[in-house]
Amino acid sequence: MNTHSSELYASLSASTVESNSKDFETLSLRIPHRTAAMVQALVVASQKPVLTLFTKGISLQLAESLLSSVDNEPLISEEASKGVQAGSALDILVSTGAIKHDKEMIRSVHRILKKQKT
Amino acid sequence: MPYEINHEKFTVGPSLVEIFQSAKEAPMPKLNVRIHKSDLRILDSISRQSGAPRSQILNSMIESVIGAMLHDLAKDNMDCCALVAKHADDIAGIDHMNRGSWSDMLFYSLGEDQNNYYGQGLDQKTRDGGLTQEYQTLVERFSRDNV
Repeated sequence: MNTHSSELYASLSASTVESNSKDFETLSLRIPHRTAAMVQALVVASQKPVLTLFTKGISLQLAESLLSSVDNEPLISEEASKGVQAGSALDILVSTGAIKHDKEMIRSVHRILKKQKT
Repeated sequence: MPYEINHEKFTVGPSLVEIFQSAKEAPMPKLNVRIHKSDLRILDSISRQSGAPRSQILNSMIESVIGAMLHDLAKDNMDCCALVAKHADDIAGIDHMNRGSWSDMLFYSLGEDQNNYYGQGLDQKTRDGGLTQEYQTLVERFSRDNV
Protein backbone atom coordinates (compact mmCIF):
# COMPACT_ATOMS: atom_id res chain seq x y z
CA MET A 1 0.00 0.00 0.00
CA ASN A 2 1.26 3.50 -0.78
CA THR A 3 1.65 5.31 2.54
CA HIS A 4 3.12 8.46 1.01
CA SER A 5 0.96 11.51 0.47
CA SER A 6 3.01 12.31 -2.61
CA GLU A 7 2.95 10.07 -5.69
CA LEU A 8 6.19 11.68 -6.76
CA TYR A 9 7.93 10.64 -3.53
CA ALA A 10 6.57 7.10 -3.86
CA SER A 11 7.96 6.92 -7.40
CA LEU A 12 11.46 7.39 -5.99
CA SER A 13 11.32 3.98 -4.31
CA ALA A 14 8.89 2.05 -6.54
CA SER A 15 7.80 2.00 -10.15
CA THR A 16 4.19 2.37 -11.24
CA VAL A 17 2.47 1.49 -14.49
CA GLU A 18 0.08 3.76 -16.35
CA SER A 19 -2.62 2.17 -18.48
CA ASN A 20 -3.92 3.32 -21.82
CA SER A 21 -7.60 3.54 -22.54
CA LYS A 22 -10.11 4.86 -25.02
CA ASP A 23 -11.46 6.99 -22.18
CA PHE A 24 -8.60 9.45 -22.65
CA GLU A 25 -7.77 12.16 -25.11
CA THR A 26 -4.36 13.66 -25.81
CA LEU A 27 -4.13 17.43 -26.04
CA SER A 28 -1.25 19.65 -27.02
CA LEU A 29 -0.97 23.06 -25.38
CA ARG A 30 1.55 25.88 -25.15
CA ILE A 31 2.91 26.51 -21.66
CA PRO A 32 5.21 29.25 -20.30
CA HIS A 33 8.98 28.48 -20.26
CA ARG A 34 9.05 28.59 -16.48
CA THR A 35 6.28 25.96 -16.26
CA ALA A 36 8.01 23.84 -18.92
CA ALA A 37 11.18 23.85 -16.78
CA MET A 38 9.22 22.49 -13.79
CA VAL A 39 7.50 19.89 -16.01
CA GLN A 40 10.94 18.67 -17.13
CA ALA A 41 12.16 18.53 -13.52
CA LEU A 42 9.07 16.53 -12.48
CA VAL A 43 9.46 14.10 -15.39
CA VAL A 44 13.12 13.46 -14.49
CA ALA A 45 12.27 13.18 -10.79
CA SER A 46 9.36 10.77 -11.20
CA GLN A 47 10.67 8.94 -14.30
CA LYS A 48 7.09 9.00 -15.57
CA PRO A 49 6.04 9.82 -19.12
CA VAL A 50 5.17 13.48 -19.46
CA LEU A 51 1.98 12.53 -21.28
CA THR A 52 0.37 11.00 -18.19
CA LEU A 53 2.12 13.05 -15.51
CA PHE A 54 -0.86 15.35 -14.93
CA THR A 55 -3.78 13.05 -15.86
CA LYS A 56 -4.74 12.08 -12.31
CA GLY A 57 -3.86 15.50 -10.93
CA ILE A 58 -6.16 17.27 -13.38
CA SER A 59 -9.06 15.00 -12.36
CA LEU A 60 -8.37 15.69 -8.67
CA GLN A 61 -7.98 19.42 -9.26
CA LEU A 62 -11.16 19.57 -11.35
CA ALA A 63 -13.10 17.64 -8.69
CA GLU A 64 -11.84 20.04 -6.01
CA SER A 65 -12.69 23.06 -8.16
CA LEU A 66 -16.20 21.74 -8.84
CA LEU A 67 -16.74 21.40 -5.09
CA SER A 68 -15.89 25.06 -4.58
CA SER A 69 -19.47 26.15 -5.37
CA VAL A 70 -22.92 24.56 -5.49
CA ASP A 71 -23.46 26.71 -8.58
CA ASN A 72 -21.26 24.18 -10.40
CA GLU A 73 -24.13 21.70 -10.19
CA PRO A 74 -25.27 22.19 -13.82
CA LEU A 75 -21.74 21.32 -15.04
CA ILE A 76 -21.80 18.15 -12.93
CA SER A 77 -25.36 17.15 -13.87
CA GLU A 78 -24.70 17.64 -17.59
CA GLU A 79 -21.68 15.33 -17.49
CA ALA A 80 -23.19 12.82 -15.03
CA SER A 81 -26.05 12.21 -17.48
CA LYS A 82 -23.46 10.62 -19.79
CA GLY A 83 -22.22 8.25 -17.07
CA VAL A 84 -19.20 8.24 -14.79
CA GLN A 85 -15.75 7.38 -16.19
CA ALA A 86 -13.46 5.51 -13.78
CA GLY A 87 -10.80 7.83 -12.36
CA SER A 88 -12.40 11.00 -13.72
CA ALA A 89 -13.33 14.08 -11.69
CA LEU A 90 -16.94 12.82 -11.48
CA ASP A 91 -15.73 9.44 -10.21
CA ILE A 92 -13.77 11.26 -7.48
CA LEU A 93 -16.94 13.20 -6.57
CA VAL A 94 -18.87 9.90 -6.35
CA SER A 95 -16.18 8.27 -4.17
CA THR A 96 -16.14 11.23 -1.79
CA GLY A 97 -19.94 11.17 -1.54
CA ALA A 98 -20.34 14.60 -3.14
CA ILE A 99 -22.63 13.07 -5.77
CA LYS A 100 -24.67 9.92 -5.39
CA HIS A 101 -26.13 7.47 -7.87
CA ASP A 102 -29.82 7.96 -8.49
CA LYS A 103 -31.14 4.82 -6.74
CA GLU A 104 -34.59 5.11 -8.34
CA MET A 105 -32.98 5.22 -11.80
CA ILE A 106 -30.89 2.13 -11.00
CA ARG A 107 -34.04 0.34 -9.76
CA SER A 108 -35.87 1.14 -12.99
CA VAL A 109 -32.92 -0.16 -15.05
CA HIS A 110 -33.08 -3.39 -13.00
CA ARG A 111 -36.83 -3.63 -13.66
CA ILE A 112 -36.27 -3.26 -17.41
CA LEU A 113 -33.50 -5.88 -17.40
CA LYS A 114 -35.70 -8.25 -15.39
CA LYS A 115 -38.56 -7.82 -17.86
CA GLN A 116 -36.25 -8.52 -20.79
CA LYS A 117 -35.14 -11.79 -19.15
CA THR A 118 -38.71 -13.06 -18.72
CA MET B 1 15.33 66.85 -18.46
CA PRO B 2 14.15 68.32 -15.16
CA TYR B 3 15.07 65.08 -13.36
CA GLU B 4 18.30 63.22 -12.93
CA ILE B 5 18.55 59.40 -12.81
CA ASN B 6 20.07 58.03 -9.61
CA HIS B 7 21.88 54.94 -10.96
CA GLU B 8 22.57 53.63 -7.46
CA LYS B 9 18.87 52.84 -7.02
CA PHE B 10 18.79 50.46 -10.03
CA THR B 11 19.84 46.79 -10.05
CA VAL B 12 21.80 45.19 -12.88
CA GLY B 13 19.62 43.21 -15.32
CA PRO B 14 18.04 43.17 -18.74
CA SER B 15 15.74 46.06 -19.64
CA LEU B 16 11.99 45.52 -19.89
CA VAL B 17 12.26 45.84 -23.68
CA GLU B 18 14.93 43.13 -23.74
CA ILE B 19 12.85 40.85 -21.49
CA PHE B 20 9.77 41.06 -23.69
CA GLN B 21 11.84 40.89 -26.88
CA SER B 22 13.35 37.56 -25.82
CA ALA B 23 9.93 36.30 -24.71
CA LYS B 24 8.56 37.18 -28.15
CA GLU B 25 11.43 35.52 -29.98
CA ALA B 26 11.25 32.21 -28.09
CA PRO B 27 7.97 30.42 -28.82
CA MET B 28 6.25 28.87 -25.82
CA PRO B 29 7.07 25.18 -25.46
CA LYS B 30 4.43 22.56 -26.20
CA LEU B 31 3.11 20.11 -23.63
CA ASN B 32 1.19 16.97 -24.57
CA VAL B 33 -1.20 15.88 -21.85
CA ARG B 34 -3.54 12.91 -21.62
CA ILE B 35 -6.83 13.76 -20.03
CA HIS B 36 -10.05 11.88 -19.22
CA LYS B 37 -12.63 12.54 -21.94
CA SER B 38 -15.17 13.16 -19.19
CA ASP B 39 -12.93 15.84 -17.60
CA LEU B 40 -12.37 17.38 -21.00
CA ARG B 41 -16.12 17.66 -21.64
CA ILE B 42 -16.51 19.54 -18.35
CA LEU B 43 -13.60 21.86 -19.23
CA ASP B 44 -15.15 22.45 -22.66
CA SER B 45 -18.45 23.29 -21.03
CA ILE B 46 -16.73 25.79 -18.69
CA SER B 47 -14.90 27.27 -21.68
CA ARG B 48 -18.14 27.60 -23.71
CA GLN B 49 -20.05 29.23 -20.89
CA SER B 50 -17.28 31.51 -19.61
CA GLY B 51 -15.73 32.48 -22.94
CA ALA B 52 -12.26 31.62 -21.61
CA PRO B 53 -10.17 29.51 -24.01
CA ARG B 54 -9.83 25.85 -23.03
CA SER B 55 -6.02 26.18 -23.18
CA GLN B 56 -6.12 28.99 -20.62
CA ILE B 57 -8.27 26.92 -18.25
CA LEU B 58 -6.00 23.89 -18.68
CA ASN B 59 -2.86 25.98 -18.16
CA SER B 60 -4.21 27.36 -14.91
CA MET B 61 -5.23 23.84 -13.85
CA ILE B 62 -1.75 22.47 -14.60
CA GLU B 63 -0.19 25.28 -12.52
CA SER B 64 -2.46 24.26 -9.62
CA VAL B 65 -1.63 20.58 -10.10
CA ILE B 66 2.11 21.38 -10.01
CA GLY B 67 1.58 23.40 -6.82
CA ALA B 68 -0.31 20.48 -5.24
CA MET B 69 2.39 17.99 -6.35
CA LEU B 70 5.11 20.11 -4.75
CA HIS B 71 3.17 20.55 -1.53
CA ASP B 72 2.46 16.81 -1.30
CA LEU B 73 6.14 16.08 -1.91
CA ALA B 74 7.14 18.63 0.74
CA LYS B 75 4.89 16.83 3.26
CA ASP B 76 6.82 13.61 2.60
CA ASN B 77 10.26 15.11 2.26
CA MET B 78 11.10 18.81 2.20
CA ASP B 79 14.66 18.19 0.96
CA CYS B 80 13.44 16.31 -2.12
CA CYS B 81 10.90 19.05 -2.84
CA ALA B 82 13.52 21.81 -2.52
CA LEU B 83 15.78 19.87 -4.87
CA VAL B 84 13.00 19.54 -7.51
CA ALA B 85 12.32 23.29 -7.32
CA LYS B 86 16.04 24.10 -7.58
CA HIS B 87 16.45 21.79 -10.59
CA ALA B 88 13.50 23.49 -12.32
CA ASP B 89 15.18 26.85 -11.67
CA ASP B 90 18.45 25.50 -13.14
CA ILE B 91 16.59 24.35 -16.28
CA ALA B 92 14.87 27.73 -16.60
CA GLY B 93 18.21 29.49 -16.10
CA ILE B 94 16.95 31.32 -13.00
CA ASP B 95 19.02 31.74 -9.83
CA HIS B 96 17.12 29.71 -7.21
CA MET B 97 17.66 32.48 -4.63
CA ASN B 98 16.01 35.08 -6.87
CA ARG B 99 12.53 36.39 -6.21
CA GLY B 100 10.02 34.67 -8.47
CA SER B 101 12.05 31.48 -8.81
CA TRP B 102 10.33 28.12 -8.16
CA SER B 103 12.47 27.73 -5.03
CA ASP B 104 11.50 31.18 -3.75
CA MET B 105 7.80 30.47 -4.31
CA LEU B 106 8.03 27.06 -2.67
CA PHE B 107 9.76 28.26 0.50
CA TYR B 108 7.47 31.28 0.70
CA SER B 109 4.28 29.22 0.35
CA LEU B 110 5.48 26.76 2.99
CA GLY B 111 6.52 29.54 5.36
CA GLU B 112 10.10 28.25 5.38
CA ASP B 113 13.30 30.32 5.37
CA GLN B 114 15.15 29.69 2.11
CA ASN B 115 18.24 31.65 3.18
CA ASN B 116 18.59 29.55 6.29
CA TYR B 117 18.01 26.28 4.40
CA TYR B 118 20.68 26.93 1.76
CA GLY B 119 22.90 28.84 4.20
CA GLN B 120 23.08 26.19 6.94
CA GLY B 121 20.23 23.65 7.02
CA LEU B 122 21.15 21.61 3.96
CA ASP B 123 24.90 21.58 4.73
CA GLN B 124 24.18 20.45 8.28
CA LYS B 125 21.96 17.59 7.07
CA THR B 126 24.59 16.56 4.50
CA ARG B 127 27.26 16.46 7.22
CA ASP B 128 25.01 14.57 9.66
CA GLY B 129 23.90 12.06 7.05
CA GLY B 130 20.34 13.29 7.48
CA LEU B 131 19.42 13.09 3.80
CA THR B 132 17.25 10.13 2.78
CA GLN B 133 17.86 7.45 0.16
CA GLU B 134 15.06 9.02 -1.89
CA TYR B 135 16.99 12.30 -1.88
CA GLN B 136 20.09 10.48 -3.16
CA THR B 137 17.96 8.84 -5.90
CA LEU B 138 16.77 12.27 -6.92
CA VAL B 139 20.32 13.68 -6.96
CA GLU B 140 21.34 10.79 -9.22
CA ARG B 141 18.39 11.27 -11.58
CA PHE B 142 19.05 15.01 -11.87
CA SER B 143 22.76 14.49 -12.45
CA ARG B 144 21.86 12.49 -15.55
CA ASP B 145 19.64 15.33 -16.79
CA ASN B 146 22.14 17.53 -18.59
CA VAL B 147 21.14 21.08 -17.71
